[in-house]
Amino acid sequence: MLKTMFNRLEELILLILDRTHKEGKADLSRFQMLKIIYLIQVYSLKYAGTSLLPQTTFIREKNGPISVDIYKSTDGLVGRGYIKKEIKENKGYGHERHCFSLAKKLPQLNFNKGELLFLDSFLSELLPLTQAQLKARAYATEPMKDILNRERNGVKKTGEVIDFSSVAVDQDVIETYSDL
Amino acid sequence: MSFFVGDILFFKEYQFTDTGQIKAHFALVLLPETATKYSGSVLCCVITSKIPKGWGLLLSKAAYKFFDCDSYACFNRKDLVSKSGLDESPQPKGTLNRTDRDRGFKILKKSLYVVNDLASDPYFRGIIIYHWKKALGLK
Repeated sequence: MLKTMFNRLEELILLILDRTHKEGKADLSRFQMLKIIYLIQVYSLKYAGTSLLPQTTFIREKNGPISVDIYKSTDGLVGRGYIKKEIKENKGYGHERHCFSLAKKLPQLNFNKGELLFLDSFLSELLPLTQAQLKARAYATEPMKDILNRERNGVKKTGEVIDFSSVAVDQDVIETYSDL
Repeated sequence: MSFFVGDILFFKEYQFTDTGQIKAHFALVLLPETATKYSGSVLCCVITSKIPKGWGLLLSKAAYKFFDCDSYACFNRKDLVSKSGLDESPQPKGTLNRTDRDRGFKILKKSLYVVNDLASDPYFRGIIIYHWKKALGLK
């Protein structure tokens, strides 16, 4: 059997960077990448009733959800020459911004038609958003609201693995699968 | 020109995904172009004057004056149709009124569960429902 060249998370990163380019943006920051993939994971559970990235873990960090898996995958794709990383100064924020773009033509990916429509649709919505808007969207999701609720005593749950079981499947999606 | 859920288009060449057959047809937009813009296509269901066996939404000539006769949006025939097949005349020809959007959403939801077609995939179903709810102001 032919071994697939990329795992599912790597394929998603490549697709996101291809769509970033097609939306006329030069690159995508690591922060944006982390939040977009987190949101897609939530929307996948909510509207498809299934996890797009079952092997990917997110943890609660100071600025919302992050994923070590995404760090590893982006760095791995940089190392293999599929994507480029550029470090840009960001004086307003006080930290350098790590920005990614495709280094090669988009390779053949294994998403099916439904997955591709789903991803393109949400990427069209998410890619134009600023970092602050993406952060606000991430904080408005059920798993983050659950964490914020438990942080009301003032102790941040930094490092806690984000539990996606609080994401409720959309009621109309449930009805679609019901024969009542 | 961008198209949205509930828009009614006229194709001079509407190609059915399952058979490959090409005919001139009116069609109802099921997903906004944001979901399909990279492929240059639009997800539609065909509109015909024949009463379908099931999953049809009546579109009356009185409400949609550009039809010659009462017509039906057939939710059992979903196709990804190339925009190159659109008629050159101004598009869309019209858009579903609120009552028909509500009725259509109910029929569409059931069709997604029962009809075996290109939308028989959890992601396909999910994104259709997401956009119809948005169009209906339900989210």
